[in-house]
Amino acid sequence: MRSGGQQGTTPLLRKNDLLLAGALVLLSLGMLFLSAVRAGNRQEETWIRILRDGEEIGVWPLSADAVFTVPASADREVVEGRIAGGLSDVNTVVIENGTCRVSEADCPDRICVERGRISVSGETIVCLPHRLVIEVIGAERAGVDDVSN
Amino acid sequence: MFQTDGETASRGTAGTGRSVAWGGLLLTFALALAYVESCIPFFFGVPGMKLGLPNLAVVLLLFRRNDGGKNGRARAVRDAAMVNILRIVLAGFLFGSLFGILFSLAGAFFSLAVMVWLMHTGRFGVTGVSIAGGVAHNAAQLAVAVFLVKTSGILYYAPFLLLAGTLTGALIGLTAGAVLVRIPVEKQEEEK
Repeated sequence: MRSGGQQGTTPLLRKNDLLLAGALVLLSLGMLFLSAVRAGNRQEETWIRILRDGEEIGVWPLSADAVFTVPASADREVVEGRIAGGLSDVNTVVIENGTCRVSEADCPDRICVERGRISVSGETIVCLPHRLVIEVIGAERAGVDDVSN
Repeated sequence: MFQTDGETASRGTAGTGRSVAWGGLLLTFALALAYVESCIPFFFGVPGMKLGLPNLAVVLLLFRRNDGGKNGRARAVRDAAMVNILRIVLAGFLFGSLFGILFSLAGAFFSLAVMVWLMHTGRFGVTGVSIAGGVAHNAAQLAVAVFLVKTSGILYYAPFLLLAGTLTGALIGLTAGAVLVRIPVEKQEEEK
């Protein structure tokens, strides 16, 4: 496109746009399919693993009901944008009836609470402000220390 | 702020005033959209997932001046980048958190870079550029998230974010296109 050309504006939709959209949709569907296959392969007992700042806090069986409060470490208030009451950064994790959820959290966005229940291997709950990851893992990964990293 | 080159500003051309006016108008527009977005619970518990409505303002700015001439395009990119920074900082303080601002900036800038690059190739329409921008935004945010929590486990969200970015990007591109055909293309007044 050069100045004065008849092509004043970029066209709204080109064939390339459709190809791009199609490729992206196929790619995401393929990834979904792969993760579904991987989750379906392990039907054995599943565990809940909680990581804070990339470090494993602990692993709990999904079959045993439990409630516990996970504190975000206290030295990160400034980064998280929390000034007042920063010491109270906590997420309450509930394991019940073979599912896991975050019932309460005082992070700014509460996306972890909105996420709802997880139960299938590979599913995760993330609380970015608290750098907390709660994931469902299969039995073979529960024993080994973080294969994925 | 928008297009503040010493010489053109002092000459006081019509282009300068219009550029400032457009920047302000679209910044306000982006903030209004950010407010609307904050009212719509779309994310389904996936961190970083948003409709990306304010990106409509950025796409509009990017393509509005695309009537040729390197000068006009460079200015379009600069205006888009400026509105991008301002709308994120302002919307962050108004409706979000400081944490959200830092997080959004990463996504927005990678997204803008990809959109500018695709626009310059001239092989894609507004919709394609917008789709790439939406996907790039989500990819960058997910990358930052992986870095923050130091766990690759959250890549579990990648397909959802990819799909969402494609969808919202397409919607925004089509909307932007519908608006763009109704805005007269601005001619270059001053070509040095």
